[in-house]
Amino acid sequence: MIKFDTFELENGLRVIHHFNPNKSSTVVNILYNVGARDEDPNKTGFAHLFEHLMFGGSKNIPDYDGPLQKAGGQNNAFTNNDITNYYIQIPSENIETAFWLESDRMKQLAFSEKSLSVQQGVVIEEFKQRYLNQPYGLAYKHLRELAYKTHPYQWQTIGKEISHVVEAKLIDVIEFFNKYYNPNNAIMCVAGNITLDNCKHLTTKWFSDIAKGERNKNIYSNEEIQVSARAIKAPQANAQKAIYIAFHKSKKMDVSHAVEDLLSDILSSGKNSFFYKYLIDKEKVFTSIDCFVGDDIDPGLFYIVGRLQDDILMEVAENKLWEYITIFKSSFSNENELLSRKNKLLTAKSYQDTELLNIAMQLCFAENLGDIQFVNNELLSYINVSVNDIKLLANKILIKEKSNTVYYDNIIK
Amino acid sequence: MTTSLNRNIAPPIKQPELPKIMPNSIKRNHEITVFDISENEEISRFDIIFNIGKLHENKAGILKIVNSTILSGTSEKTEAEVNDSLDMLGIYHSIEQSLYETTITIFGTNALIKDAIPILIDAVFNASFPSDKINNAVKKAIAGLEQNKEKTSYLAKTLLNEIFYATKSIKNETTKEDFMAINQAELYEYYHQVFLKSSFYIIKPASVDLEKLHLPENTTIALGINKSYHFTRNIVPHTHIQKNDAVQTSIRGRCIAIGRQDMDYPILQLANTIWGGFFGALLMKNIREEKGLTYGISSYLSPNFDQGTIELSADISINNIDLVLSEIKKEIENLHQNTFDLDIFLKAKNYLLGNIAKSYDEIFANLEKYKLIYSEELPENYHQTYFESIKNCTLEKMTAVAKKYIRFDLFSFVTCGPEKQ
Repeated sequence: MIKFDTFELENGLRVIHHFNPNKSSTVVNILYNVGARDEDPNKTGFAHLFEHLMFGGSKNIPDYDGPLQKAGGQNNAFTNNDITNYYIQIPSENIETAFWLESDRMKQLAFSEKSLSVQQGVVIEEFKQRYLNQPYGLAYKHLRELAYKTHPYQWQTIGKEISHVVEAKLIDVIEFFNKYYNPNNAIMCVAGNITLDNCKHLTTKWFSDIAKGERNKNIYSNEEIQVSARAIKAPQANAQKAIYIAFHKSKKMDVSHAVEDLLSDILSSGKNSFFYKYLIDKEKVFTSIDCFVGDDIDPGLFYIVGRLQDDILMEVAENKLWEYITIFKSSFSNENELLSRKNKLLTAKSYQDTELLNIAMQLCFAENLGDIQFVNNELLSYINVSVNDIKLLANKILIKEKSNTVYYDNIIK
Repeated sequence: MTTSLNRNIAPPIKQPELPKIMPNSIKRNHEITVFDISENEEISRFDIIFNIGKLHENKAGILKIVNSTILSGTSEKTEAEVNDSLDMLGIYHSIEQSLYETTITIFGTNALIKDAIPILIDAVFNASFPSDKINNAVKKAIAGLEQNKEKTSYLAKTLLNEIFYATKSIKNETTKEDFMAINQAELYEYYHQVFLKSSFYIIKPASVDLEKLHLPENTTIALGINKSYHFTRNIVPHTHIQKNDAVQTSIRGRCIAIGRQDMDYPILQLANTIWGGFFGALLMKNIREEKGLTYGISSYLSPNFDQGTIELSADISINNIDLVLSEIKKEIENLHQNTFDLDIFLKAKNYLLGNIAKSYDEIFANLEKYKLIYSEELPENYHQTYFESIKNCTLEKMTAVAKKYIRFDLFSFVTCGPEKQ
């Protein structure tokens, strides 16, 4: 159970406080309600590029990292399709430095052609390093493009293509900042060895003079229901044949999300899973096969990723996979299997809560989802799942006509 | 009356201190070396650490396959039964192999881990290694290897290993043929004659009674715990591996340095941090933040027992190789001559101190500190001394150590990528 208090400044900044006097450090986590789904389809990769620019200094503090490092702090950030998240962890006695730095860049970021140009170069190299120069590095790009035709989840956070990053202009950067980097479009969590009174005092001191802006309304095109299977053969060659399949799933706050998550565990997590027992151990068509779900706020994807044994044809592996999905959908009834997955989730949650940063991020995410109590209630939605729920859901989403498949069938000789 | 806020002035700061409260209380007891962890969180962990690692393979890849299949059943339980029992208790497990240790870990809630420990001990000490499980593990290992061989970073690092190491078991990567040659009889013999005859030690929750765990006798030292290895002392300034389908070039560098037992180690850590060990380092400032040539360039110390290396890595465009190498050299010169913004010295020092202090907040990172003292045979006050050495280090001392170990002429670099345009 994570304990917390909340308060809000007049400019709309929502603040969450979590007190733990046993820690020597304190975390300041700021979530901005803007991600890749908010981008113009012709200017993708922008939310992530902007995240890089947030470290280029602000009006009163030209060097963001330096003062933080001097104070013994660490920081980083990430962008996904829904949000952009920045965090600092710092010795508690130097916590005011974090308030100073974060408030100044929220108030007025420094913009320059030089900073933009350098970070464009950095992001292009990141694009190559993480996607273009990796085996199967474009698999999820292909899957998103297959699965989504109208919703902005059709592109990855890094962007559709490098040219979008190259063509970003300074005016776009300024507009983006003014539109999304406002106190009322942000949620801050302060977690650690800091009292509520001190948290309120420092928040008011450093953040209350920042002007209010617009809050992101988060309105996006709905994806139409998929009625026929979609597939492509990836042009890239790899050392091992692989199959990537994605199905549409529910949104994060839907009760089905917990069922989907548990279903993915039952199918593929560990040597006791259904796919391991039958597709790896018994039939020997795959060397590995994994299922997982995304954490997207809007309806996301349920993934199956299998790597084929080298003497197995793609068609054979795919048929076996569908054969066992059909068996699972008609026969799953194992109460113990479900119970063991729930027990593992309780362990995972306890593990996650040993770190302040995880607690701070979870609190911000829950608040951004519109229900901060979700941080403690989410587990309940998992505990309430029944065997029948799993079976019904498998029958609802694991349907061939609603599948999106990427085949990696080219082998490097 | 309100005073206006001056945002140009930084709030006052203090140099980070080691926390007074260390959340884990760990004590060593019993004839078998056992560390007891106090249970002050909802979750706990149990480790069996065998003193056997890649250095002790008598056949390439054999330990990797033992570790992949050790939880595949016993003479009385199938793989499914072992995994069912652990899963039902909500247990996560991991098996990690270093140069000289194999660590088998389970995580679980305090309420359930006690029941999982006997299941794990039985599975680990009575493994049966069914041949079909060995075949699966071999196929998976080969698939992973073939995939790695498509990565420029892997190819560059593999060649560096060949250049640097004289000890056979770590000089050459395990090949497809090595894996295919592993058979059940040899593996079974290795497990009984080498693996189980290596000594082990335990990390357990304090409330778990050791007497009730039915651990086998710790036969110790049958193998002898050899933790050292040999370098070739070869330096190959730059080798390029051409991989025409690559879209980026991996650059990996290495030089021989020192292990944690050396008095200079904390100071070298600070010197390396200034050179390439954090976001404000000379290499990151120059090559990423000034020139935008890479997503990240970093250097780090890789200590193993009484030896160690300095490693450097970055991924760049092929046409920038010469420029990046010359900037790496330039930043070493800046480090030696103190021709850099000297503010970085204080930033790096406090960054490191803050990082160490923070790690005491994290129960499992804290636990690793105690484990390190034992496995690397360090003095009990090692971490306190380490912290104080960095805190009290002067610019002169840092520079002297940097000049001794961080030298461009001691580095070998391997690049792997396409042909130059």
